Amino acid sequence: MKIRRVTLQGFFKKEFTQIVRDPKMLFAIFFIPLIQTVMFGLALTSEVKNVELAVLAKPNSRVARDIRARAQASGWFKVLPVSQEKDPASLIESRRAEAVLIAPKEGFEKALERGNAPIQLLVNAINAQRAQQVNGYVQQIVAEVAAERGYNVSAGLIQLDQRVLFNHNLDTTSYMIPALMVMSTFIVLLVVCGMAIAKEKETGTMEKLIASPCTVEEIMLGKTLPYFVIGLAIVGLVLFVGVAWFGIPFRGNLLLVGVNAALFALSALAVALIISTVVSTQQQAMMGSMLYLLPGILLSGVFFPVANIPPVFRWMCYLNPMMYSVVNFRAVILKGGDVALFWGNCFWLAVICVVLCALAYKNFKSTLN
Amino acid sequence: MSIESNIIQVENLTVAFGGFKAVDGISFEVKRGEIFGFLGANGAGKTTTIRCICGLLNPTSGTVKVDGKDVSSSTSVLKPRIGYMSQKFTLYPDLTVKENLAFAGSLYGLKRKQIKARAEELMQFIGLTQHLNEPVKLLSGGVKQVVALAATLLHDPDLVFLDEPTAGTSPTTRADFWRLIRTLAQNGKTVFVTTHYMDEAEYCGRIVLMERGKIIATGTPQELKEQFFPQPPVELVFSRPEISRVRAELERSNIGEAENFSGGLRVRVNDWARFEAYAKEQAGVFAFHPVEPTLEDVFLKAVSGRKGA
Repeated sequence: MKIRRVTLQGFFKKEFTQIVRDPKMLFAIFFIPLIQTVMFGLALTSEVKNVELAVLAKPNSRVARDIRARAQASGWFKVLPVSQEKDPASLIESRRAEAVLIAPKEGFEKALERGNAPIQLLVNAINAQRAQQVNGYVQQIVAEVAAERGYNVSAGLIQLDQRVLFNHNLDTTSYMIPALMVMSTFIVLLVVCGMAIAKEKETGTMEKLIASPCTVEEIMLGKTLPYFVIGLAIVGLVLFVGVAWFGIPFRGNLLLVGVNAALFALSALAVALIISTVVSTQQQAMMGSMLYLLPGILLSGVFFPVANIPPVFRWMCYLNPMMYSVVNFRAVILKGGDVALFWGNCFWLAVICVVLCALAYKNFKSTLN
Repeated sequence: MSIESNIIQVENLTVAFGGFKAVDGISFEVKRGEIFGFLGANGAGKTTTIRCICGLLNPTSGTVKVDGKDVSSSTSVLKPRIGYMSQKFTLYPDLTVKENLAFAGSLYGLKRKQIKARAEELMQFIGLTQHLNEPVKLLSGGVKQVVALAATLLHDPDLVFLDEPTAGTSPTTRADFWRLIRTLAQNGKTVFVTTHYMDEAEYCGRIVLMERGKIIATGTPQELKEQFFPQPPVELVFSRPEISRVRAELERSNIGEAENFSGGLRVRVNDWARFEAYAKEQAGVFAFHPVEPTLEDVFLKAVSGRKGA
């Protein structure tokens, strides 16, 4: 195996110059991950926020005041300045409130004292899932206030004990961004690197590479290593946006992030190489990448937990390099890392990576000859 | 290194793609330092043959030797000595001329300094120094071809393959390009060039005519003309209404094949005695005079000869 430094340098310079000159490539490489991060970070959140809540009670109720304060402080609710209303349902019908919490006749204090509080909650349930979440939040807040004031309500209506680890606020952004670091990078590497190789074939420049004394290894590395560097840059970019803009916690270690990123970036490039050996135009390369990406993303745990996927398909998740890296990033970034879990995943990721690279090498070599 | 005069030796080369024989048992040799022309229509098997000699394609059967070494077993030794300008456009349009040359040089393991010195030398040779920092996509078709030639010559190969280098370029560019090719040969390089422009073949030292995977003629342009035209072709000039009748009669009676040219017929005579007799019969109608055969005439006659056989 002969790999010359000047040749690899030549490839790096050429690939980077071509990317910088091509606005479409630059867009694909940097804007796609950014747009995805912002989209999943901001818009596509499943978290319920800014729910208009009215708390109806006697004007001098301390518990009601506490509930209002706590609800407002949680960020989930916008508390309406209403404390009396003859027809509470009208608040919801007129869309002034999404949820109305109503104290019993004798007041919150009495009800909580009895330990069995028949506190009424009206929720606009057009979106059932959202309503359920609102219900949960309200119960939680009432329980917290009750506990703080020393009422024993464990036996009653309010039975909430939701404990969420590592994502205390059930914040979907923190959960999604580590996964996006994998997904965006994988998509970009597969598409961009696959197209770059197909382009050489399509325009005929591949002929020149083959006619030169370049070895198969040099062509392979020359066409993938520049994209490896780009892949690591994308991981860094998404992580930076996640921490700096969305304020996700970063509890891990950059070295571990780097190891995980390097392993899955290599797997992505190996897949791109394999696809490039069976296609001859950029369009086909694009189709090939999509064919891989769709199931690849669905079976990676980015959106749907792997544990929820039926066993018939679950084995496919275990063959998917994306799956391991998603789990690893979530663990390293949000938890600070579970050493055994992390290295275990890295091991399987490395095994898959080696198999993919070997396959890519074999295919690439035979198609070039 | 062997001192024999043949740099390329091809014996019984056959390349089959499935059932289709793109090259069908051809043999020829190329002498060191000559301009060797490989002629034929599109699809005659020219590019396939070149790809075999450059080691890009393994022959189905037969042997290809460069400098006495079998190509398929010594590609790594031979590749640095070969410059191949393929028929496809092999420059990167988004890179400048300089960047293209730099990348081509790095493929051959040249250092930056070497590339720079060599690029300047070449740009002077091809006379395009002013384009060095222009993106290739902004250059005209002819200039692009010349730049592609420079990229091919960057590592100073002694055997240069040019596959249809002048296809689709203007007559001026073609003339310039052939001036470069002749200079290369004067500098001791062997130039193997394919073309389907028969007029260009006149510049070649020796030529091979190919048709449907087979060689139909070999020799210097002069030899080929003498071989196929012991009697020169004839131009007939006469009053217009007679042209198609005479042409049909000549071809029907197999006296010769004819083509229209401005105001008359150009006849490749098969049977001189009968032609003269026929011509005299029509004497009142036209005048005729023999002309120098061109390689185009040779090619057409060679092809029609095979059809008759």
